[in-house]
Amino acid sequence: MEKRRGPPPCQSKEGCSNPAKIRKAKDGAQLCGPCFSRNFEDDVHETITNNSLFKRGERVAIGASGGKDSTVLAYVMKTLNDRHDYGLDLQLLSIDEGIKGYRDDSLLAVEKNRVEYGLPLTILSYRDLYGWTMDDIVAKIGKKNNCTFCGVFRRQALDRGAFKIGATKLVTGHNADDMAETVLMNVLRGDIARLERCTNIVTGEEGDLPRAKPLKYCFERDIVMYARTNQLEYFYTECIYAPNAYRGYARKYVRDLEKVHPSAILDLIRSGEKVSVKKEVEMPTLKICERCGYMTSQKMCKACLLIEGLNTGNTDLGVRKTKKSKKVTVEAEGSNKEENGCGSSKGGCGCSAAADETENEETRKRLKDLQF
Amino acid sequence: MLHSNGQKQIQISAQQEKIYKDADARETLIVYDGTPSGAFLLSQIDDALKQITYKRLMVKPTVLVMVSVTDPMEIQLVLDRVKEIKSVFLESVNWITAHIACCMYTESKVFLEDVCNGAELIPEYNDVISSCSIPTYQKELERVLKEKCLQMIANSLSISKCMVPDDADDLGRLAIDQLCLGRGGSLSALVTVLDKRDDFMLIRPLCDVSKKEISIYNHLCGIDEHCIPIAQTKIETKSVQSLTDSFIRTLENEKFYSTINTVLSTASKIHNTNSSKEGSRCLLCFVETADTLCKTCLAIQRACTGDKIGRFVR
Repeated sequence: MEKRRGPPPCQSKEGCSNPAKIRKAKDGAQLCGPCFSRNFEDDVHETITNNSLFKRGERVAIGASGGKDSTVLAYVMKTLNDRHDYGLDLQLLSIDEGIKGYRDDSLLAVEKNRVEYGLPLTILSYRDLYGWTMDDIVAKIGKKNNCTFCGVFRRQALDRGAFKIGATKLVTGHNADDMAETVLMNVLRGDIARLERCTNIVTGEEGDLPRAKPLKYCFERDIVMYARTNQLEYFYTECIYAPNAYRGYARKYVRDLEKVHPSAILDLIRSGEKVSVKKEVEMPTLKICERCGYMTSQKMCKACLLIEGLNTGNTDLGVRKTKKSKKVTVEAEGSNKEENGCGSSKGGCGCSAAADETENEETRKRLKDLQF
Repeated sequence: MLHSNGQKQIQISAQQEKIYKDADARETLIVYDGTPSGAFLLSQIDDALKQITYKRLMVKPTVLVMVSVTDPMEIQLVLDRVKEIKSVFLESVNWITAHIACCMYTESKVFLEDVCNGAELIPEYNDVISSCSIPTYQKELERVLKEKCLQMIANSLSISKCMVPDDADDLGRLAIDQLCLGRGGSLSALVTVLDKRDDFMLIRPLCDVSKKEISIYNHLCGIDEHCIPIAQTKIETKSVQSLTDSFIRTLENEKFYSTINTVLSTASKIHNTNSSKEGSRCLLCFVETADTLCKTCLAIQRACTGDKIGRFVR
């Protein structure tokens, strides 16, 4: 009778003899629980030291949502700060978007972290900062485009919160999967300015508050395994408002990539790191918002524009191009109609300027039959 | 209208990039791979050469029929079909049929007409491809070796320019594949009109034309019948390339029609952060800056059993 095979031994470099229980998604190493945790922490430590992310004595705000990434980030930062004596003053910073049944519950998880890790917690709300909660916004604009409002407001709210507590740096729980997805999204949207900077481990250095991503090279699956191994409590419900449809496709693609070809995640990040915009391409210049003083490339920052839209009832403001500009384009196209066509129907041309309507119809019918 | 647009596209590509400013270097290898895009390119070049006004395309073409099927019977069928097509397009120019296995040649060769050059190297070529155990890298290796083959043939014929029938859909997918393989910095060279290498230039005149446009044009102008199934059809294994294909299809089905255009436009505006350092190029892919092999090509080498890649980089 064939002997049943047990789990393979831990592949840790320290020569551990425990049976392996976890396969690390990043490099496929099979490790036992404690060695996996240590390996994960060493990875983050390496990222922090190689990129000189912090200075001794700095006050660092940890963006905490109560989800897996920020919970793991807070735990790892505290562990490494104690173990390697970074000398950092760590503080938790949460944003209450005002989503009943979602954010109020996740903030309870952050509150638990505050007690367990002994880190001070500051919570800022959208209502206090902008006069609107996400529930109010969704009631006003519906479920379409609400992620645009939430994303813009949260980014600015975190900056304002960090200033409030006197932090000199803000760390967020963006992981490798998030980074890969962002690189892809920026290519798909043609946002070259963001594409150039989105993989930087520290962004916003030109402003007053740099943002760092210590989990940049950690795979999402490893973060979940780390949270489980260390029995961290986190909130894992998806936002109750519909997720951004377009990003959803990119997310699914990145997840499929990770299953079929795991190194594609780090390769996507590597691609983003190697990209820079050609000199001849015009780029937006950074200015100060006329209304609130926040950095922007326009006269008004996006958050002020969105609030203006909400307060005046023009909810498309800052979300999509105005109908006026669309109308102008349509009219311009209409006036050029004759110039655009070839003007000849001799070759059976059925384009807009063809003279013979019957030939037009005939060609259209032929094209329809093709069923491309 | 569509007809004149297609010709215009090739003229614009040639003029904007000043590809033919040197009157002595008008010899160009026109690659015909049997696809609708390949047939479209042939018809466009044929038309452009027949023009008598300033619209005439000033090139001296040599048509290269690129074969990747491996069955001798199928290769013979391709040769027979090429004879027929030759009587329709570019009859007066040189036609060469070569198998992708020509990439295995280590030195310049004399290419004969009316035979499939390099067919004797098919087993050796298959051996290299099958030595790669990871499907994504296997497909990438095929792509890289195809370019190597084009360069080898062009060098043997003392031609420095090569027009390939890659259309917008092919290049959009390639851009995303290359992003996922870590070659993001080289996207501009890989998917735009011009890809200048040391002594070789790849020209992609159809980079702004979609497959759909080409299909409509071919149907209306009766070019459909000049397509040949030259490429090897394989059982699809899951790879980055197959995932990208289904990802783009999903987006198009969901009416995000401009995805390909946006990806290609983005690719044309970026370059490698280290592009100022004019260092040596990767010996396998020729696009990334590296002393010997770039990171992606090193990964391909590691995925191959034995020293099968070594012969290409010595």
